[in-house]
Amino acid sequence: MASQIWSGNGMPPAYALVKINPDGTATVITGTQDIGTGTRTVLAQIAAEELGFALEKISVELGDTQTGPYAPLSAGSMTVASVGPAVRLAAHEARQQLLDVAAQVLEVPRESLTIADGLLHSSALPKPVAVHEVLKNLENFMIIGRGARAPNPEDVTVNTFGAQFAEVLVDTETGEVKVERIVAVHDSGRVINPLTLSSQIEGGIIQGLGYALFEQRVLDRDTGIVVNDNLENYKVPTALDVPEIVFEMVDRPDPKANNLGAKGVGEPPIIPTAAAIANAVANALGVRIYELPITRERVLKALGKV
Amino acid sequence: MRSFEHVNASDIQTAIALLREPHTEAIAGGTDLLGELKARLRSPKRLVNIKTLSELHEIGYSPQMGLRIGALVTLAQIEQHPAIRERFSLLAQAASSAATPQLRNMGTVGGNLCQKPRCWYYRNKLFHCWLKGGEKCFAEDGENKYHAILGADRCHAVHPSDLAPALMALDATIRVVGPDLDGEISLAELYTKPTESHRQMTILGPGELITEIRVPTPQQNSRGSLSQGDGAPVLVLCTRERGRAA
Repeated sequence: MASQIWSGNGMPPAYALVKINPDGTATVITGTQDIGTGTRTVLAQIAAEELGFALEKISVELGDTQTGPYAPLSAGSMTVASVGPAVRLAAHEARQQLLDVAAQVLEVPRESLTIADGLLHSSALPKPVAVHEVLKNLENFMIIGRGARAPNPEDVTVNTFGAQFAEVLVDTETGEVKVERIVAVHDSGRVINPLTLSSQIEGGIIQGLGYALFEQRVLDRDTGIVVNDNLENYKVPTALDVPEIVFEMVDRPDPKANNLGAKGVGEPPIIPTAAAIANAVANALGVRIYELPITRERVLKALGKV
Repeated sequence: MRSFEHVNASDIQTAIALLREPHTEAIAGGTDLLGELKARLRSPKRLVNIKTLSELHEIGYSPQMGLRIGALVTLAQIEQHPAIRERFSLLAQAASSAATPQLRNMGTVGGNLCQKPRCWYYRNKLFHCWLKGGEKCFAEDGENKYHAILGADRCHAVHPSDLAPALMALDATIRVVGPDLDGEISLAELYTKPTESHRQMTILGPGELITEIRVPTPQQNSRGSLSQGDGAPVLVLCTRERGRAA
């Protein structure tokens, strides 16, 4: 078993625009990237919830810092916790503009209006009115909300927490370590999307598995040239190496962190995996190995067999 | 990779004639050769495609004749062949333990037996090692965990074939055809220690090709097993009367 503390708080600067289109769809525009980590999905969810629109009405335009607003890269456990709050604020501002104009067009008190699933509701209306019904007669009128990530709190340190448990089999004749099961429990604040979150956790654990057992840079002792500068000899885990991964989410919003209560989850699951595996190996063998990766050679040396 | 001419061989005699020319190499699956070309370990001016030799793609088996595998049969075909899985399971295991499914779909048994070593000094263009025509073997005093200690002379690389130990344990022979040659030798005779004048791991010379691998039917009571460690495969073949390891 091993535990983890890591920041994952995100930070300014990060900016976003949310545009409500005449057809009742909305577009999120921000300069960050989605490198397969699910940013596009999660930002759409945040905008949809804040606007009161269905998820499929939201499109997300990423990756252009030339004409779009700046936002940070996909790295450092900071994308969602930095960009997500900016998107929420931008969606909130767009929603206020929409309510302003809807109150005038529909001739109802503004405070009576709410938006749910793309429909404007009001006790002053005989029945709900779709957003695009309000916008379609306004010609080139545009609704654009802007959002900027607020500063981090000054009175607390924002952290993520986690623990992992490893079950291993060690062959004391060959020195081979086989990881049977990893149980991971992580607290990264509010869970916005359980599927993209668990994929990040699994990916992190698999990276940690490579760190624990396989990844080793070999330098020629005379020249310093890396002799295993290829994926044939620098081993990373493949599908067949992946153990059973049991993941438990702690869905606990952190209200001090930012306006979403969500924190980063990219790096945290990588942190405890190697230590949990090394502790399990020590538990199995009764001797401790202090170097990574835990190769067959090191296991046999620790057992005094070579 | 430097540019080269690519020609299809219409028949074995044409292939042999073409391969006698200097700066010419044979290509079948290409899984080993392309890696060498990309790393510029070799820069042939002409590649002779021998995949066109249709008679070398066959697998035949009968209890009397034993197993006959054309040199261009892929590792995937060996791995999946019903008679090989049933009667020569050691060979099927060896084929399935090699590389990855993509490479096994392309790589041929002839190429597998003749492939160049995976020694990381040999494969790295920054090291001009003895086997590539240089002065010294960098593995001798270098990073040699996966190299040969016993019996090595000027070169410490090990031959990487997963199939060769299994085939040797099964008493395989090979048919070799060349400019002045058409004969059968045991697979063990194919391999040689590289020498000053012949810096190669096989005895084959220019224009000499393996065309077929022949394996006698093993005794009913023999069983084989292969296990892959960090480096070279470890293989055990036993019969009830006698045990041997290769």
